[in-house]
Amino acid sequence: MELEDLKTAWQQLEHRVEVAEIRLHEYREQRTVGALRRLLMRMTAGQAIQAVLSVMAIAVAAPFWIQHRHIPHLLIAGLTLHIYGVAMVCSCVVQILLIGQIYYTESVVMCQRRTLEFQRLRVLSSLALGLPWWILWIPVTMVGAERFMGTDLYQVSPGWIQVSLVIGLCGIGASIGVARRLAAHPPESKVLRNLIDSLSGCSLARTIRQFEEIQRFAGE
Amino acid sequence: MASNDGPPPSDASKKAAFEDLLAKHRRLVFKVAATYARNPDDRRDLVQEILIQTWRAYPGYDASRSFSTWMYRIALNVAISHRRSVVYRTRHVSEIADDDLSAIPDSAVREPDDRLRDLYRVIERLDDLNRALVLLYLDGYNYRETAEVLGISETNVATKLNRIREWLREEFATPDGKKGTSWNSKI
Repeated sequence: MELEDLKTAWQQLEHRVEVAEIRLHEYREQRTVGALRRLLMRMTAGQAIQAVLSVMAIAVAAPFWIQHRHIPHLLIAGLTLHIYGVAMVCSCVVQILLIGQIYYTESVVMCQRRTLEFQRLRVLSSLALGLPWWILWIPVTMVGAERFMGTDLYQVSPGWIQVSLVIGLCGIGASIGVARRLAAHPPESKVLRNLIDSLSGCSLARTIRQFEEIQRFAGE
Repeated sequence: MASNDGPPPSDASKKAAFEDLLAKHRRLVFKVAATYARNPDDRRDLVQEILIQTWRAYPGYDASRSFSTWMYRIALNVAISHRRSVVYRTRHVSEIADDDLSAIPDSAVREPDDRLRDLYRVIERLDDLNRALVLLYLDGYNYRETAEVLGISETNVATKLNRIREWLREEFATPDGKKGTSWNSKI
């Protein structure tokens, strides 16, 4: 077969799309937005909400660790939350900026490169900021208990904190292990499928592969 | 920007100008959608998304440049991004063998005409970027225009098209063309 042979078929396809054109008006009048746009809008809104929540967390964590800087475990708990909050804000801001730089009017290579840069950051940050919650709930609880109830949980039950930390670390490892196992046969649920895809590293690998494809395509 | 002469156009006149341009080039949208979306629902979503994105980008359109080239960029970018999300969404639900097009529950792919079947068979085996390249070639775009839409050099366009030609000759040498190697795996 020759590439030129396909031109005939292409012309045939043109005739067929004439039929589809009749329904063009119908599409234009639809008020629902497409899947991709909905996704991007949801992501931007999601990032903005996360950024606001993170700033609120920082607003609680910063005075907390300053106030308790002489008590090591409370200082560590407060600082952990503060650092996590800053990391979350940075991630959200960078993602919002990257979304804003995706212009469909740019050349295909440039636009797809930017899209994949955004995806790569999103996947990495969801891993880096999501997995620590196996442990992060402990300083959150400690700060909350001290801040709102005046109870120092570590003093009340240091063993519980230590055991929870160990369980959390095991949980991180187990999450990755189970996700990798399930990645070959992911469940029907979209939420679970996305979670497994992200935790198993499949989505990151896919993004890197697509990025390499673009580099190869543009570089030759 | 569109034009610096005279007062800024009103929304109504802008929309009318856009609709005129769209009427002239709308087949482009459907062709891109037919090339990148497998089933009618996806195609409908994709057409809608391309139109929305084109309308959103329209205020930044430079009227001194070709509308079809500008629109092709938008259509291809939206289509590739759309396809990535759709391919992942459906990949685990129904794995489709590249060379078994009869298994695809899509009326547009199940074409009775052999030539159209061949076209889809070739398209299915190309990765997203090379698919865009072939689509532009089949639509009569020259190397310069193709390079402009894709963002690569003209030499690169020529090289890639030659390689695709060779791949086609080798891959579809037999009438059924069922060797099964995708273009992507060959590079």
